[in-house]
Amino acid sequence: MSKLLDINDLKVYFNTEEGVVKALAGVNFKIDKGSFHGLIGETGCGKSVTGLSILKLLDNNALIEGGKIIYKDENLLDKTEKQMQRDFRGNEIAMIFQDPGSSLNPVFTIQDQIQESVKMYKKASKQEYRNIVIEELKKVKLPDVEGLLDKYPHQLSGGMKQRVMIAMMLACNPNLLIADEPTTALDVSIQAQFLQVLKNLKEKFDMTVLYITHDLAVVSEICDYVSVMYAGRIVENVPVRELFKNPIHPYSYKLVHSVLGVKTLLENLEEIPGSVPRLIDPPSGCRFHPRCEEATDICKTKIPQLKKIGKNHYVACHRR
Amino acid sequence: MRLSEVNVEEIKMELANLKNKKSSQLSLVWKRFKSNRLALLGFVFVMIIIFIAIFAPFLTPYKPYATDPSNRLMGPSRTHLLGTDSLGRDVLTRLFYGSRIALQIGVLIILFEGFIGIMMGVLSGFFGGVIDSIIMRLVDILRSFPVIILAMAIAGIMGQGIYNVVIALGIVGWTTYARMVRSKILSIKEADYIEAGYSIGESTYSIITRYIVPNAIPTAIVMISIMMPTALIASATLSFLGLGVQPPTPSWGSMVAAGRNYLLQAPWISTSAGFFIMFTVLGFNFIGDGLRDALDPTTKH
Amino acid sequence: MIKLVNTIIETKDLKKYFNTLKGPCKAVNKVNLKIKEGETFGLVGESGCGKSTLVRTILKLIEPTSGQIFLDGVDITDYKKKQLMALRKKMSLVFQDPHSSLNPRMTVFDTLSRPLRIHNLTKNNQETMIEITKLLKLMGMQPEHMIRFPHELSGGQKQRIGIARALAVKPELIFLDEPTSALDVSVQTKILKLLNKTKKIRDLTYFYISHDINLIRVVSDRIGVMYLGQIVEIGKVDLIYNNPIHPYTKGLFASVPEPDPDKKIKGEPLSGEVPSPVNPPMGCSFAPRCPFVGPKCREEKPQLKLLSDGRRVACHKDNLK
Repeated sequence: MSKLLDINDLKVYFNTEEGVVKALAGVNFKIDKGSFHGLIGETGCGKSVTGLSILKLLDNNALIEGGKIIYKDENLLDKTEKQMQRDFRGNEIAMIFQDPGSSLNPVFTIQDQIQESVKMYKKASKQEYRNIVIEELKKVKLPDVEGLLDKYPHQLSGGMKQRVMIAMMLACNPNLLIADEPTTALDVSIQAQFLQVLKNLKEKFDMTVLYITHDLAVVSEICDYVSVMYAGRIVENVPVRELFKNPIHPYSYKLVHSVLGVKTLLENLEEIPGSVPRLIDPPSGCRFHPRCEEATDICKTKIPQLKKIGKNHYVACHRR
Repeated sequence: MRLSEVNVEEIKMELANLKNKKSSQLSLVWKRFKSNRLALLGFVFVMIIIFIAIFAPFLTPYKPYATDPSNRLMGPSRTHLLGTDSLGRDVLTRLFYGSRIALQIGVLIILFEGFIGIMMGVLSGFFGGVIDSIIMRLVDILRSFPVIILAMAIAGIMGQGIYNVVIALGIVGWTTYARMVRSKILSIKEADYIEAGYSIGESTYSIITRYIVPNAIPTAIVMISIMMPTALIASATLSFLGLGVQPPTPSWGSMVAAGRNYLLQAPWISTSAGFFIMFTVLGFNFIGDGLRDALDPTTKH
Repeated sequence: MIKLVNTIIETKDLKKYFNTLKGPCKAVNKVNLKIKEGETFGLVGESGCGKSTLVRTILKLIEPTSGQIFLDGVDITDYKKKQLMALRKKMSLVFQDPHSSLNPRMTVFDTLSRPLRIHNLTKNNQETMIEITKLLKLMGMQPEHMIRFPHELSGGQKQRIGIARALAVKPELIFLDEPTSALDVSVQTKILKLLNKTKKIRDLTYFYISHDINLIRVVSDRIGVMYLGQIVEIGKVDLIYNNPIHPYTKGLFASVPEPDPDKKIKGEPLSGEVPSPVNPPMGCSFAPRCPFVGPKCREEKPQLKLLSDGRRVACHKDNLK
């Protein structure tokens, strides 16, 4: 399987008034072409920052302290802003965000917005653009596509807006789609429809997706591979089924066993003692050690590296 | 859980801690304010103006109204640090006494506009409905008045002077603050903790005094700190136009106006008055910004 | 000795309509509900179904449009002012968002002392401190947290204070509005277990509302499914969970993503959009999206019918199984 994206020891810090926030302290994972790769972690673990780093969309106070982001044999971190904009954003790598309401421009019709995306990469006549837009909207299974073209974002529901976002991204024909918590703001039934659309796209168009979320159930539903993130580092890279059947890292284990699934009793739910650390002054060595029941001296001093423990299964832990 | 399981000593300590906590909150705000360089600078500027206003008679041997026509329009010299104006009065002295006028007007305007503005804003924001509509329509009507014309009318009817300036500016000026207060109250009302207060049985009076007002105070404080520079500029403008405080009373605005005719011969008159206005306004603006940042600890990057 | 189970809350044809420019928003549209003393009842539904409005109407934080509310058998529908104070002591509410449900200008002590003072539960400062210390310890927090302001607490701690505040009035019944949806998964577990423990210690009745079906399943004894202002299915949690009958319930449960790769519920997820409660459809409000819709459905609103297994379902479909 060829690697479309290879994130190698990525380190990103932020300069803030209170100090330097060591948001990403060595992120490592690879995304296969055609794979739906989940990036899972709780609030503040750095998953959104990772997504933004790939497209170099970070705030001005961000410092890239090290590492590489290799996309199709090129290191994106070496690229200038202009190169990113011209060569990568949109046509190679696209991103959709959590709140569909604020991602769409309220003063343009759906037709116009999607057309803008297409215009950047293709010259065509007005009628041809219209047909392309209709094609893309049909791909995301929106009802009554013709009627949608002249509508404005505020006339659509959250779920529909999110699908329009995908259509807009697809119109550029990217190779990699990064989705940052796209369904968090949607109702369960709408989320189900949205995931269905994604599954459909996966089968028909062989899309590669980096799916960022805190929701393990969603990851289980559509991802084939997942990276578990904690406090700025990846602690486990594992096929999805394996994660639920056999989570190895102590954090992954607790996480998987604290999710409310179909058959869980309250007594059986796991708890993780303590709370997520502040990244201005993160724990030394393994960042999970203050909350880990198995922590020993080496965990406090030495940063664990990801090592292979099974087929396509990597864990960063001194105790495993 | 029995009483004996609760440590009474611990409790007494916590009670004392609580009292300390409230006062430490204030010192925390001051600490944050202090660490903001611009805010400190603004504070220094304003302190200087206040000092000048209070101690003016001791800072200059001249009297602000004492004319000396034989020494008119003299340039800066050792006897007159900023020269003299068209009637031979010492410019620096008039500027110093002018600070008293400026601060007086500022304070009066703050009291006038602030009182009406806050009251209207609270009524409008808290009660909503018909009361809100009426007050907001009143605000709309007042804001469509051309202030200069109104000031001219009032000057025409009641004459010139500090109090008339305050009235002329205040009649329309409170509307800005009513809107700010109303908008802050509306956003406070949206917060869950208001509903939470009702859910535990708080009375309407209690909600207003314990939940709404304390959360609106930072806005009110920042508001007041921007009212001052706004009032200063507005009253200086009126004076400049010949409407507000006029010579011989030493108002900075009228000094800028008076110096207009002598810009080539004696540019120091207008420019120094303009500089004092700018210095004071800048000071209050910096303080206002500093206060806003110091009072809201929750604004994260 | 036989323990008779009291009905602590009963609503009869409860309605709450809001006036909007486009017509009445029928947020709560004829709800008949009985909550038993000591149980945990879970109300599940998507956004806009009216569950939040229903809870606030029962709590009399909002005035009902029509219908009746009974607390411990007493009709409280028209209670005002002084009578309402008695209600505030008997029922309380835990809010969804811990970051906005605490007054930023009040310390933990202030927040928790208010309910004690309002209802005269403590006589002086010392008693108040003792009571607050007890509440904090029950929540797994330390007395020193008393002097903290909300911005000095974590999300989980803030939520614990929210719960402590609801407990401070010594209520019989606590409503919980999505108490963990704003928290991380690892904190969620702790809060749910804490709530469970507290319920037993203080002998309470709980009314949860949530859009998270799995959460409702884990905490509830009985559940109700709400759609567009009406309860469409209500009964024992395991019965409904293992065998949902109402087409909406079926579709809703099938839409929930399942973590365990081996335990996927297969069913048809819901199609169409969640409709607006303003001017709902005539007849059954689910008819426009229902895969089993029949002619009667568009004309007549179905009432909750008692089935043989003890649950109630509002549906015209024959042979409901």
